[in-house]
Amino acid sequence: MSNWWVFQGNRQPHDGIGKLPLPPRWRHFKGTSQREALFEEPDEQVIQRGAIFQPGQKEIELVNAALYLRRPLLITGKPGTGKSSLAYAVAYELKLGPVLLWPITSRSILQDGLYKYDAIGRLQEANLHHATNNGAGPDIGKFIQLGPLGTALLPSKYPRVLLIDEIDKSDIDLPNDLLNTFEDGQFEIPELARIASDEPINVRPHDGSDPVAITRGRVICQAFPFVVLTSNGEKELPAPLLRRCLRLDISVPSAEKLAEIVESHFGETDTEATLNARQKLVKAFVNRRERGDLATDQLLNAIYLSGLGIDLNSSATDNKDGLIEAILRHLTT
Amino acid sequence: MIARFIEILRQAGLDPTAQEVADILWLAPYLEPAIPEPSSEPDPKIKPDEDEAKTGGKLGPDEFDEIPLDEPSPGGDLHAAHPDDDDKASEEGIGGLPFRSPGASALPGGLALGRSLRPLMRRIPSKTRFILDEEATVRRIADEGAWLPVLSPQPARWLEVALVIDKWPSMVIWQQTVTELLRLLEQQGAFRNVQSWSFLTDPQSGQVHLRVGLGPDILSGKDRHPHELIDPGGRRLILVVSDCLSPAWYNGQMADLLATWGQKGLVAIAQMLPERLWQRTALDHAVPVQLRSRAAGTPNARLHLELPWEWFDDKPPPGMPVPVVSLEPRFLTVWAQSIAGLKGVWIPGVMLPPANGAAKSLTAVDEDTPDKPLSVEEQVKLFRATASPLAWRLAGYLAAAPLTLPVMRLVQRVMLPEARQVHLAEVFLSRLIKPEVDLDPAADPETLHYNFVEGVRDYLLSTVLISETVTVLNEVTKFVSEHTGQPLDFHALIADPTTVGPLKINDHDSTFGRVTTGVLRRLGGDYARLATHLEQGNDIPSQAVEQPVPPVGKTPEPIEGSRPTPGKTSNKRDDLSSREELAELLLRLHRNLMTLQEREAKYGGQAPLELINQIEDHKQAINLTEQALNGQITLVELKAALRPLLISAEFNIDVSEPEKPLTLRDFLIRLHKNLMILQEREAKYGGQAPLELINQIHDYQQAINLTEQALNGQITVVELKAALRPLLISANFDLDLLQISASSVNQPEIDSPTKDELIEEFAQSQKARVETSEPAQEARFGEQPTPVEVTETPQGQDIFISYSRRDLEFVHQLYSELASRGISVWFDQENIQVADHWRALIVEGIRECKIFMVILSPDAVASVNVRKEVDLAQRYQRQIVPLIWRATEIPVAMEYQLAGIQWIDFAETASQENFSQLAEVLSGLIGGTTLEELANKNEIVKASTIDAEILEIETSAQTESGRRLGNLRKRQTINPMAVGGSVISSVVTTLGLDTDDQDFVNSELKWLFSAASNFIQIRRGAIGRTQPVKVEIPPDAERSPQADNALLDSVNDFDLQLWEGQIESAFRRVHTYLRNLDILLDQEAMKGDAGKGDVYLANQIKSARLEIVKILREVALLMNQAYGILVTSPEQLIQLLEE
Repeated sequence: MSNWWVFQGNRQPHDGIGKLPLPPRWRHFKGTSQREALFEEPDEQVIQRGAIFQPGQKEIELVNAALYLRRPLLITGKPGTGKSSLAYAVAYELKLGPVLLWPITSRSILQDGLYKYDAIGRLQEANLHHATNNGAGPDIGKFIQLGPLGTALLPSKYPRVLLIDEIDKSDIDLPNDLLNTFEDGQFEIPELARIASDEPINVRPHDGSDPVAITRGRVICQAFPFVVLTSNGEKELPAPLLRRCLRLDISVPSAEKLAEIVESHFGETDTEATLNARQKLVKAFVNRRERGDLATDQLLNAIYLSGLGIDLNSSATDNKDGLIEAILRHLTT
Repeated sequence: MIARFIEILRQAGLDPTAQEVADILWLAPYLEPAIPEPSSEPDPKIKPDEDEAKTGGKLGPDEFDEIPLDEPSPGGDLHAAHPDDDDKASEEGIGGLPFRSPGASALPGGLALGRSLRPLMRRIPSKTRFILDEEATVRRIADEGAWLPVLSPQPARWLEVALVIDKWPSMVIWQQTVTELLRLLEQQGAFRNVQSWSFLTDPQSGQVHLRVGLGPDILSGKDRHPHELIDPGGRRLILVVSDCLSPAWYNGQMADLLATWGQKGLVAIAQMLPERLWQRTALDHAVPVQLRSRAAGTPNARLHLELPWEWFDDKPPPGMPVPVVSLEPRFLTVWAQSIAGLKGVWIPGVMLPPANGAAKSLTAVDEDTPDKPLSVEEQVKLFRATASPLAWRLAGYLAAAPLTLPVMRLVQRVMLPEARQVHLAEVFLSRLIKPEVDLDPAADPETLHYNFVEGVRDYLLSTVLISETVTVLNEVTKFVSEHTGQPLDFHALIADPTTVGPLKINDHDSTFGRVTTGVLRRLGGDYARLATHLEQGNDIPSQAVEQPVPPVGKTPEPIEGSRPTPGKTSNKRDDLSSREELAELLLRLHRNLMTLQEREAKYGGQAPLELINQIEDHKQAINLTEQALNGQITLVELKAALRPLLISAEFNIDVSEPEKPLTLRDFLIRLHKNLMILQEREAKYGGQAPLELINQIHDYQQAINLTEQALNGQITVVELKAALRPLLISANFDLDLLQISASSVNQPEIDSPTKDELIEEFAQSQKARVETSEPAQEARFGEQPTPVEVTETPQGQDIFISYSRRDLEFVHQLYSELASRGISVWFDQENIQVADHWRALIVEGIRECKIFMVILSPDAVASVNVRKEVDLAQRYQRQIVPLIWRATEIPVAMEYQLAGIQWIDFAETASQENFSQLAEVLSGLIGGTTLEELANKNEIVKASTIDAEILEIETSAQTESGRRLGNLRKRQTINPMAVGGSVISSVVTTLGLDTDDQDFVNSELKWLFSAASNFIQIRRGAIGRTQPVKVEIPPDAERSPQADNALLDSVNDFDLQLWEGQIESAFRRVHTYLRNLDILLDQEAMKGDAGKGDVYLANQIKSARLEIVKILREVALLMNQAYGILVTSPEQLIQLLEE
């Protein structure tokens, strides 16, 4: 543990984010804060995924560097090594609120991440309104919903956590588009911008929280969000993106590490028998892992079942390998 | 201050951008100066920021010593896993721990490939999905007052793609590549849908079975109809992924299938092999065409077609034009552009002959039954002659590693990151590599073990600098420690001497890298235990070995040999004393080097070859010794590496046991190496090499020949030495080192000739050579004599057979009959196996044969190739023996060559008697008897049917055409050593620039030729083994503005490759046109005066010449782009060329 670390990786929520120094000049953004408070009550998902995850030294160090430098963190690693859990762990410990999740597919485009505009809905409503009241239509803000990236860029005193999952699944243009937004820390909603009024318009954020006011259709962040991009390494990523991100490779957990993980999930054991059973499973898991990919979750499943007293080595069917074979099945064949 | 900081970062191998530097400096004050290392070694993968950040602001060069750039750290040896190592209870060998070694992509450059497909990302209006058209809606509200949304079709992805994968056994090595290609296409986002299909070819019937999917279960799947793949909307792109080697490609089945798909849809062949190897696939039987699409998504059947120039028919060949792409960005880009309808883009394609067409008889070249296997040297040389420089280097590196696909890719990624999938393909197709066990279609090809053909590995290793083979190991080790845990990995084993686990590593398996203890410790568990073990008392584990093996020795795996199982025996040598010995050795090496360099200086650039070699070797030895001192390589490795180096230096490697005498093998390799250097030198002269050099080369060739004989036991070592002595006078070769177990030979040693005798002999051989060489001919551009053709005793086969493919059956029979009677026969089915430059090989075959036999039949006399070959035989003055197989009339075009010659009549009876008689006749001919004499004894030899009068007319009549023909022949001396030079010289001679085409001899043309050959010189510099591309800019040639901007230095490697590729292909086209021109000129000459008046012919000749000039101009332009060389005057460049 180090003094400069804001994120300690110890699974204890604290207010340390306030101690983060001002950003470097070139990562300073001009948004006016609309939210000053931390999220004292973590949401269910954050607790579930963030409260038990154990980051390693290297992970903690790079998370802190990314927080300090206000740069995105690109995490590569095999499936099941806890790439996305790290984002939840940060949100949990630093009380940064729900994690804004943006899963990427080859069809994702930047617009999806920024906001959605339901033009037809608005038109229909306006039409209805027009026919009945003959008055002004409903507020346009009702028909705009910010996406995860758009929400993350809403100005607030403390950074939000944005998890862009499996960026390597994206089409070839998305990474470059993303870069521009990351550099600018802002974006525009033309549908709002063209309304010539300085009146703020309320739109709905991605996480379903209260509507936020946007003036002149422009969203400028204040604290740059803590952006985590994850990649399974299936595809090369363009060099500009790699240059602008901090890069972290999460390696598969060692046997010792696995034992710790097991302990943090199931608590310390009281009986010798349970301990032995766990150690055996960890050993089996490590051995099998060298032949093909396995996710840590699979180990946890196995230990959970064995903890219930189920004999994993026997099987009701004719399958001679037993249940363990099915549970610890390789992800890639 | 900051400048100094950046300088330090650069020295550490980092090249930060301004932004990164700013980030580092900003973050540094927040960090504590010293953080305890989280792991035993810093992770090099952490971004530069972090590495520097840890050391705070006090950065100095010292800190960087800790960054493991060339870590000598101990570690576990990595071995490739055997697919069946679970079941195998190997008796010998040590235990291994399973380990996921980081791997390399099977489709390198995926990002660039993806980019090249960008034109296909076009979107078209969807028929099913709609979006709000804001503008139209507003207009409607304004105009009609109706508040209704106006919808317009949503832009949708244009194409979907269906990969149809060839499942012929030769494709298994590309399985991973195909998988990655599939993923690339899926993730590209350009396609609506990506389907995968496969097709199996029945080896017996050659029938094609189409199946859905590509997994192993397709073997039992149901046949699908090809029509299923046809999209009536024409929006499905069918990409046939294949190496075009399965019988279906030869028998027309695939052609029919492609024709079905190409009728309405888009179909292309994705060739896994590089363009230079296409000739060795079924594509060689297809007509190469250039294709252009009329609009986006033009189906194949409606593509614009340009036939090759040599296609004399007006009618296009039957078949469906299909574009062919290889998985390289430059191919894919133009192809994608063409599909997207970009105007003016021509793409390469083929027209495969359909099944019902004339080509039905074509069969796949039987690849597996070479009757006469080539020797190791021949195979390697053939590969070197035909391979691209990158593939050649790759083969050298691979020789230092075990061969499984993942390891090979890893070595490629680490050592030659610029190499692409096609280069590995070249190595695979070289036939230098064979699977250890037979290919099993069900097995995972990724785990298969391959090996070099017996002896090839040694030979390849001798061509790679020793330090480089060590580098392979070091670099892989580095890569492994940096990338362990990355998602892309494969199953390997770490040698673990401490356990007797279920996994075994065989003794003969070689290691390809190491896992450093730092990495092992991070992995925990058994690995950490192994790390501890390795670090304790096993600092230099490999020293334990008592029998170092030189890399060129008998052991196939030198690296393995010198780094055997750690810990088998303990290290007894006192570390301190060995260090002292090393230091002493280093000192001596330095002293020797100085002496040698002084000697070299005295020669003033004319130093003898051996001296230069010695200096090079010493430098390398010093380098290696330094590495050993630093602990980067072990003593054993050093010894093994030094041995071949110091053969020439009278030097005892006294750190090892007594010196071993130079073996014949080593000696042979040495000779080959020297020969190569000499030949490179000669090539630099571009056909103007001095006589002395040519003599030397000749001597070396003979010495190699003799040594090979000695190796085969045909002559004794004593004889060899006696014979070599006069040969190697010029080469300063120290024969006394050749102590080839002379004592074991019981014969008394022949007295070595006296010095006078030697000089006498030498002078005589010189004289003889001058006499036999052709008289100098008139100068071309300047006053130099034309290259002296080295006259050689024919070393090729006895008989060269020229035939039409329609007579193949008979020729096969003839071949085996003759071969069984002890007559060596050259014919292309047998002798062209590995080469793609088969035309060059044919020329060589003809030049070196004793007897040129042409099989006459109606088809043969109609064949352009047969005509050309007869022409060549005449040109090289080979004895021509026509054999009439099927009765035919001799065409005018061959009368000249065949006039007045006795012929052999088989008259379609392939009886044993006939063959016996023929063999008798041929043996007689080889023995020197004339055909006329033999005619009296053998009834199958018939008198000439061709009227002698014709000959009379042709040769004696001093017609214009006769003289011209004579001129043409005389001038066409081909210098095989200077391929590039020959392009130029044949351009000059074939165009007849110095005779009757004065109007064509303009300065422009001349400087273009010069520019082109200048380029070839540069290029050759690049090909020459492992030197980097050296671009020599002529001092007096003007530089283009780009060059002045120093942009030249930063010429993007990719672009350079692209340009060089274009230049190369331009030259290939020049070759094609030259061949055609040759034919045309001959035709013109044959027609005599009538030929002159033939307007059609004249036009053809003219357009061919123009085409050549056009291409050469293109070359000059490309050279300007690639190297910044701007040629302003012809004289300038000619001068440059002559120097």
